[in-house]
Amino acid sequence: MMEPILKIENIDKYYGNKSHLTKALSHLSLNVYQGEFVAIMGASGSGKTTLLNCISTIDKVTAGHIFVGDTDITTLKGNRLNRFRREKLGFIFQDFNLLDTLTAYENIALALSIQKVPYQQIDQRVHAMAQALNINDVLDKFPYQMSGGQKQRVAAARALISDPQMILADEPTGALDSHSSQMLLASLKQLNDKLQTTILMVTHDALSASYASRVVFIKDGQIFHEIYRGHQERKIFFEKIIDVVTMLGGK
Amino acid sequence: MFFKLSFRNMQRSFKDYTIYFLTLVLGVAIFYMFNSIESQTVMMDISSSTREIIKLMTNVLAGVSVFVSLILAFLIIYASRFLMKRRHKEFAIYMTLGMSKQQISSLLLCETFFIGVMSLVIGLAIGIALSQLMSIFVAGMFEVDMTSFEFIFSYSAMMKTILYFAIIYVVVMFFNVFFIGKQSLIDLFMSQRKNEQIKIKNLWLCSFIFVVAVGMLAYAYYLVTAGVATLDNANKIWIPIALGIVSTFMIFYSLSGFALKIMMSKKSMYYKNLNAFTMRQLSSQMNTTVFSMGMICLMLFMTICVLSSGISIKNSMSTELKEMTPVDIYMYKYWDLSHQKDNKKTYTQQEIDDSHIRIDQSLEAVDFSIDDYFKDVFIFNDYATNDLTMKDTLGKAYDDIHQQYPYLKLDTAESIMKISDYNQIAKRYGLETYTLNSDQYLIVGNF
Repeated sequence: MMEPILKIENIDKYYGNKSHLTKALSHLSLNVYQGEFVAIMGASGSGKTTLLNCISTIDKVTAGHIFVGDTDITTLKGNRLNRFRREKLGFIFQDFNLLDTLTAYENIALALSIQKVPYQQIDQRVHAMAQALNINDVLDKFPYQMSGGQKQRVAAARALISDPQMILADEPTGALDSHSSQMLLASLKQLNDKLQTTILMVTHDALSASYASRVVFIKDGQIFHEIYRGHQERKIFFEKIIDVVTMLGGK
Repeated sequence: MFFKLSFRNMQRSFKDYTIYFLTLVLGVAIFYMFNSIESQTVMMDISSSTREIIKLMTNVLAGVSVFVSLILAFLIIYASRFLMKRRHKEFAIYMTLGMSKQQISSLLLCETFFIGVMSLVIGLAIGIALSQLMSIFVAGMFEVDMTSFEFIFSYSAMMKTILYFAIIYVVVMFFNVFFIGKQSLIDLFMSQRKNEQIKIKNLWLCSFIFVVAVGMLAYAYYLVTAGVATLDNANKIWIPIALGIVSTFMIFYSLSGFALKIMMSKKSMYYKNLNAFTMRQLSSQMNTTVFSMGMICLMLFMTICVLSSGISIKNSMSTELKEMTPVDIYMYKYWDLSHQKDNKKTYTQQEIDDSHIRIDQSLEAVDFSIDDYFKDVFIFNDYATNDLTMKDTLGKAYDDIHQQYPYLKLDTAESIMKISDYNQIAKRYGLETYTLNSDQYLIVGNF
């Protein structure tokens, strides 16, 4: 059995102060292996985004440990933390978070410039990535000139370009129409298969989740259930997801 | 790439934050104009007494310009903090891409530097242009003719402006860097949601505060207008000032709540058309800007006061100048320096000898004949003795005066002169003349 790329060990996350304590995550453990595409589902307030924020080092856990490879990311600080974010992680957000002063090309290239990659390589890699995500035509456009779907694919390109170990996506299809969503997810799935990049995606949409290879359901800060796609048809997998969602919602 | 990014950010700041940029430019321009007044007067044909006044004014302005720069610094730091708040998300993106805080800080430094240099250059250009107009204004203020129009550029004012603004920008940069260092990523992401937090105030409390504040402000105004007689002590002036400041903030704090309360008490009014929406909007806007509105209000008040009192001081100064100086030249020298015991300074024999002759004779000694150069010369003696000081003249009024003007040296000797001399001078000054009998004396004073 191979070592998990992401090992979450018994983490807790509390919010608030002495009088108001909210338990967002409690005793949660999860292992993710290289090349997996994991969707995290759950109702609003179930702690799914908190979980992603903790993994992505945006937020800090109250207790427990998260290992990426051999590194315990809960203890990372300063430049080692920046380096970790820069080299190991790629982010995709619901609202794209592109820099509106830069063109699509520059937005994608920035991720590499921060890593001080030489320009010739940047150019080559940006074009290759644009090809894969079908955004060649919009490279010279500014974010405000693009559609939501294009923006999200640019954001995906930015996240993938530095060849990270993990892509962390927070409701990537939340602001997209169903066509754009499917295009994006298909591209992500394809890159996941090809590059063996691990993807962690938070979503509340069963259709989006059906592109994943595994779906983890969270309820009240704990893992409630998980299902693997295996070799099933996506449509069948989708129906299975719907069943669990119904069960979750119906209590 | 970083350079490009900061340049683009600056371009955007330039477009989006025109007000901020204009503040900077105007600040620089005004600051330069303020400090260039001295060199403007160099070109004018003005009398020495006026020049003295202008010198005094320049000294005062130097002090005021420190004050102005403090206000500007406050304004600039406040504005830049506001802009920083709007950019939280952007910084969060930089950090998720793995930029270090140092890199973000240097990006910001770069931007602040760019904007600073640009506003300095444009501001100085505007300041130099406007100071030409200013010199015409100053000339008019001191009632002198400008001999000729000349382009005036004050190097010292420019250097001073650059120095002061460099300091302000450095402070701003320091604040920005400090701010970035302090923030955690999750706070940056969440801040937009946090800012929209609505503070709900107790409407009754608001109404109460409002009424109290209006009372306080009214009392402060009463003190400085109708009740001005009660302000007989210099320290008492702080009471209306403190009251005014506190009540201004209190009014802004409570105004929205109070207005809302009034409106809500009349349900038919409150639910008519969009009134409910408008009032709620207005009150939430006012709640978030209490501090800045209070500050702006106070600053405006101060500007109006300074401007109007400046103009009235100028007017009284120029009328006083006309009244007090009907003669062209007034010269004096001390008699018999060898007897000036309290003065530690030792005089040469020549100086002592000189102090035993009349002033026109001393001038004669240095080949300056008064009669050749002036007409209508009057020479008189002024006597003084430590046996008669201002304290003696004031008599019973001494305690009052001393309390009111604690810094006045009242043990100074009074000046005494012959009635014939006084009458001669009084005629020149257009004052009343008197006759005295041999056992009489007359006290002249303007208090």
